[in-house]
Amino acid sequence: MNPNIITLVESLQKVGEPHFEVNKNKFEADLIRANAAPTSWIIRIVTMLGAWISAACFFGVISLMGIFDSPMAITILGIVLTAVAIFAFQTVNQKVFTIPYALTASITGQICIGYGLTGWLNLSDMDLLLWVGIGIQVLMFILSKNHVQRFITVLVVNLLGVGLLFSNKLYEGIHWITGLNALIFTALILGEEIVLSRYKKLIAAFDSLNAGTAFSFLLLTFIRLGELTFSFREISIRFWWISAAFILMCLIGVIYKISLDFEWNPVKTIPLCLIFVPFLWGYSGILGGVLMLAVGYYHKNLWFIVMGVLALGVFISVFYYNLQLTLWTKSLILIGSGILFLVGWKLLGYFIRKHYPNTNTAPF
Amino acid sequence: MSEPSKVDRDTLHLLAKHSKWEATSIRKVLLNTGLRPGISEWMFFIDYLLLSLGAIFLVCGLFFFFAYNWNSMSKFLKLGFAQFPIVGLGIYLFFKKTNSLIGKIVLTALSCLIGLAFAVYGQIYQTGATAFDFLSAWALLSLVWVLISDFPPLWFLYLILLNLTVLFRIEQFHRMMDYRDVSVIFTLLNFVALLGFETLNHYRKPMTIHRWFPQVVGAFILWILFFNLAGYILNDFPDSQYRVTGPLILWLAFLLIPMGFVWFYHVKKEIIMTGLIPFSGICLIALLIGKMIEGNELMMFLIIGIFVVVSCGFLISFLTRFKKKISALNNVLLLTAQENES
Repeated sequence: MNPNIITLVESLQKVGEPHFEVNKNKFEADLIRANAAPTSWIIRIVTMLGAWISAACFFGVISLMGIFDSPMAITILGIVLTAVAIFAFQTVNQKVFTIPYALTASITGQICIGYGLTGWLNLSDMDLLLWVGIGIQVLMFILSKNHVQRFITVLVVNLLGVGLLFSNKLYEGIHWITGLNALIFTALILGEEIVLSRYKKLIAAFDSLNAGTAFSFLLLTFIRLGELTFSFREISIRFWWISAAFILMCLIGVIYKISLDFEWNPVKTIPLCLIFVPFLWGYSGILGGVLMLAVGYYHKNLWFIVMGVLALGVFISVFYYNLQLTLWTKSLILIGSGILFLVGWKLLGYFIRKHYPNTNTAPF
Repeated sequence: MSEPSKVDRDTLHLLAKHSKWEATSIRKVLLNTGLRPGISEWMFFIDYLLLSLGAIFLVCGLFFFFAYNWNSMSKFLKLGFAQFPIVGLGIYLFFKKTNSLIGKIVLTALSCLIGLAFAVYGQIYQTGATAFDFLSAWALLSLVWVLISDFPPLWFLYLILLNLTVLFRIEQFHRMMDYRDVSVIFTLLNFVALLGFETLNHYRKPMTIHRWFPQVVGAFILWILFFNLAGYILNDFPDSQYRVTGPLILWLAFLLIPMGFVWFYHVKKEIIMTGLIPFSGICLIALLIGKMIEGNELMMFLIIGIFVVVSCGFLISFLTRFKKKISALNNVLLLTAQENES
């Protein structure tokens, strides 16, 4: 066991944290199991790529065998493959070797079911098919124990949801989905201790749900960016404020949570930050980047921080590109903003040196 | 090898899963173990964020400002705009040490500004210089800064510059060159850079925080060799009368890929390249199978599908065991460090 964990458990028991009780046997058994199958992003990428390549080949086989011609056969095949995948995911923690098989079966099975149902039930109604797809994904999320599979299901549910809205010409619904994703990953990360303390069943899905919703949020924000710049003209921009309101709510949540962590008075900190609202209101892309960066740093998650920095870079550039001003005025705005940030940095430096003398600051 | 492991979030989640633990206490542990930033860390973060945003906005603003007024500016002003920062940074470096982080960043900026100065000079006097002339002059004049910098990000930028210089040289003067020969040049260039970095790393000082450098360069070499081998398998290369290196790229692939695997797996114990090299191998073998049974599509898809899924299963098991070994080694290092401290 990691020596720091032993020290942590012992110190918690010694100090007698209120109601701290640990089932050591179960914890150690789970820890051994987790340590037996440690993972890293390269393992996840190899798993995903391998599974997709194999699934593509198996589609070739199914197609050449003519199974696609019979909707009933393809549906049954899909159900069998999905069931096999679910069974494999239930036991996958013990056998790392089976992960690519389970993921391949899962991808192949789900697409077969979708294709089969379209033909078998003669679904002219696209909505029903999308709902079935969402249902299968939700089921896979609940039954699967694999991080990669769960991450994919969150992403696919979002894409199917957008498809459902677009097929009903409810284009502004994309703002709701974007906002909801922001709300889910922010709430999960800010309320991590509450999840860990009260919602034990959610712990296993914590990381995949976070990563899935954060990635979907960014993806949908980029799609929404299209409404302003490239195509997607049909997406109504009348309701842009929906996602902006969600993101702003999440940002206030971050400030509130930081205040709680450091025992500051939220009644003082939140209104102070609300001063910036009139300046940022309407730029939900930039706000989204700021949110991703703040939440990422709060969670100390490198991927979130990188995504936040990239999103900020892209959205700020697009914002300046779209400004209906001359290059001269744009340059003055940029120089002015730069000077303001640098003045803010200097003032913060004085504040830090006065109140937090042990903090490392930029060495200039 | 990575740093010794501390309390990680996954283990804390497992502990919470099997315990009765109050939220307030978990919050304290998250803050005390450094899994959640403390107040000093937030201050540090905001400090750097404001500085970075300020610097980026100011530089972009100045850039746009000069772009807007470029045509109305005199030659001397333009040259001054390009050369004044070089002189300013040079004076700064003269009085400050180059081995501090700021000194290294200044050296990086200086190396980039040399390119800008050449571009402005070429634009004003219409020297007729080609892209290769421009890049090679830039590479030559910034070489001294690169050598004294001891800063892998600058080395990396310089390596990109060298690759671009070679690319433009080939584009302009050797357009008929066979692209297996081009691949040999790029492989050797980047391999020498990688070898230089690892030698320096081994004999002078270990740069654990800059292990991204050999991994990125290694992945680039692997990418070149992979596409060449794939081309050979698929017979994608047209015969070229200009080819001079013969089957050298094949020999390089057979030599460097196993050597790279042994280096990253056995010596450096780094999981990224240890995973990428066998995965490339799996893809190449799948291509080979496809080529061998080209006429029978059904069998081809079936065998490739089975092969990829089985071999990925083995690869993941192998990588998981490898990761476990690294974690165990890190724990031993952590224990030793704690014992030394106590």
